[in-house]
Amino acid sequence: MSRLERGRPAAPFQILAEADVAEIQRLRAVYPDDRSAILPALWILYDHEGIVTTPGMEELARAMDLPPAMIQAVASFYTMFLFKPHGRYVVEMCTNLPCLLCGAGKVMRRFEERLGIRAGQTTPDDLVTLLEVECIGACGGAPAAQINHTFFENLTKDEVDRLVEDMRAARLDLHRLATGKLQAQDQELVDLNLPGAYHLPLPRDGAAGPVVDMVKGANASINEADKPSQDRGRR
Amino acid sequence: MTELIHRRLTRDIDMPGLSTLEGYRRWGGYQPLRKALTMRPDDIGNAVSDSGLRGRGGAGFPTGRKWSLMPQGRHPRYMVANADESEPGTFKDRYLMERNPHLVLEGLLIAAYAVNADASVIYVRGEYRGICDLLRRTVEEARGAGLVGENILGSGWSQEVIIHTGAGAYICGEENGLLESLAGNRGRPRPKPPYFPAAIGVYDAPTALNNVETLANVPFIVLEGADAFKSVGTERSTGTRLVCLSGHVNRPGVYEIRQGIPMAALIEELGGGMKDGKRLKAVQPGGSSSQFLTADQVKQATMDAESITSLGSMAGSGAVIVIDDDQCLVEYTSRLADFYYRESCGKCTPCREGTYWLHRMLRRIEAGGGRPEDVELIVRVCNNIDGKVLCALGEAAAWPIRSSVQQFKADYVAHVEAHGCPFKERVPIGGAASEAVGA
Repeated sequence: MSRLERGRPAAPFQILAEADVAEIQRLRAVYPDDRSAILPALWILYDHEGIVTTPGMEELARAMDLPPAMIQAVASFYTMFLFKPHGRYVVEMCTNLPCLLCGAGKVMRRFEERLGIRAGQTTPDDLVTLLEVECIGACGGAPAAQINHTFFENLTKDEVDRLVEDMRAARLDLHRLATGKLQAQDQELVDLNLPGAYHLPLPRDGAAGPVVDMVKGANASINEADKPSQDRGRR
Repeated sequence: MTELIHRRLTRDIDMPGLSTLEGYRRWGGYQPLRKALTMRPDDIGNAVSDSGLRGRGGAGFPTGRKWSLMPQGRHPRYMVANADESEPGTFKDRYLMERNPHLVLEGLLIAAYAVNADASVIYVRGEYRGICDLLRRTVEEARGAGLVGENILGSGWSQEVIIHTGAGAYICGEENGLLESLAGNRGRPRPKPPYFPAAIGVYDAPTALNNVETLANVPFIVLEGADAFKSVGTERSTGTRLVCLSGHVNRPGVYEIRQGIPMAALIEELGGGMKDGKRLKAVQPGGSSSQFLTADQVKQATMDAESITSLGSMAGSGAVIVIDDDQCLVEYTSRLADFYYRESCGKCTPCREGTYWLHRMLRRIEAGGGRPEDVELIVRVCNNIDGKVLCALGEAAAWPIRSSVQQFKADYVAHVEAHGCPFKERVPIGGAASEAVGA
């Protein structure tokens, strides 16, 4: 909400559905402090939109009667909220230590080959987004990934081939993620305002990749679209 | 093998329908809660103190003592279960919550009663969203049976349980980071003192914060007593422990062990030995934050805090990551540094800048651009983080990296001398390795 708008009668919500707003009001009553409901409310927005945008966060702020900055501060701290549109399937491949030991590098490379994209990118048909993530708590079934927040463990090259085929044939029956399609005017806002949208020409440091990560984790991967994914597999 | 494993928390884990209320009750579930509600809260706290139960999240602080630090009579006060299991290599809480959610809830309820909490929260990491749904169903099922909500089991005691979902941040597993996140702030740790959230926790109210596995031990202590609990384990590491075995072993997974068993037996007998018959190089015995043990140290080590601490590491979160001797420790440590660099919240300068430089230097060495003085420089950067930051994240980066450099110095020297990773096939001139030199 801009300063000019403050004090005017609240405009109807355009992004949040009525049921979303009702659920947010219920959550506010659950916690002793309204701010505790920010994270659950962001999940509602994210599940609805598949993306966290400035207009979306402003609607949350309005629904919760909090300053937009407070919502943005929370949203930008975590790695699971994506600030850019993504595919219908989001593959979050763990490359942390136990997965590294069990060949996550080879599995990641197979995903990249089969999808024709690099980690951090989305296929041109907007079907699959491939991200590198930190430990997802599936180390007993390493290497592991989550697709649309569902675990897939003990991944092999063959398993990757099968998963990619299933995604292409829309056979993979998973939680449907909204893909976060942006309106033209939202795109502008995203480009201007959000950390996830920065795309500076980053200086390179040998094989160390971009020196500056504007945001952490999954969002960072999106910005590092041109970063070569190294095969971390063993000799 | 039976004497290595002792099934206490996992006794009924393979029973059909255990995750439902009916199934859980069939195996004696909620008897401990019924008993607890007839006891004085202090007596439960005393039993937990007597049992010697220590936190299973990483720090290993005595649970009874943690509860006793809460100031008497100040309300509101909260009970929080830390289910933000994000230490790389750790997956026991997920296993427990997926397979036996009512045990976790029962432990939480008894703890809430013991500390006289006004409300309880389970803070679950965002990556476990499916488990959040399961836990919400579990709470509602329990509510339907009068186990959550008003006047629990007719005792006059009431308790509400809220499931709070995180959204991806390692630091929210840290005590103060979690409480800040729960309060609706960015999950950045607070200045200390106070050293424990017992007096000033979430919303500045007295707060008890315990790991999921810790809480799951409480029903047993209430039902069977402290002595029965202590009948397994060592003097200072009492009870069983859920160990998460991962890496280069044939049978990775969660094992509920008697504390004090030889680490070698864990790897050889329970883990089925090294994958592909390779030789052991190193073990991280308590998650990615713990110092490395060499193959020789592993031979001496037993699975309890005393032994692992005496070898210069820590039992941490119970995540045992096994590394064979074909693995390049520089590559491994470099990935470890990437993790802490990405997850540092940036509040304390030594951690924010230190993890960044560790990440850069280790990548440089792995890529072939390392300089002879880098090894000492890494140790210096680690020393400048250790003890100079608010929370454990910075130290959790410094400890294993310093240990890796000191214990496996030969790997680092070989990288510097060979201008690249000797564990990988040589990249032809003009390839990636030569580009990286001079970074």
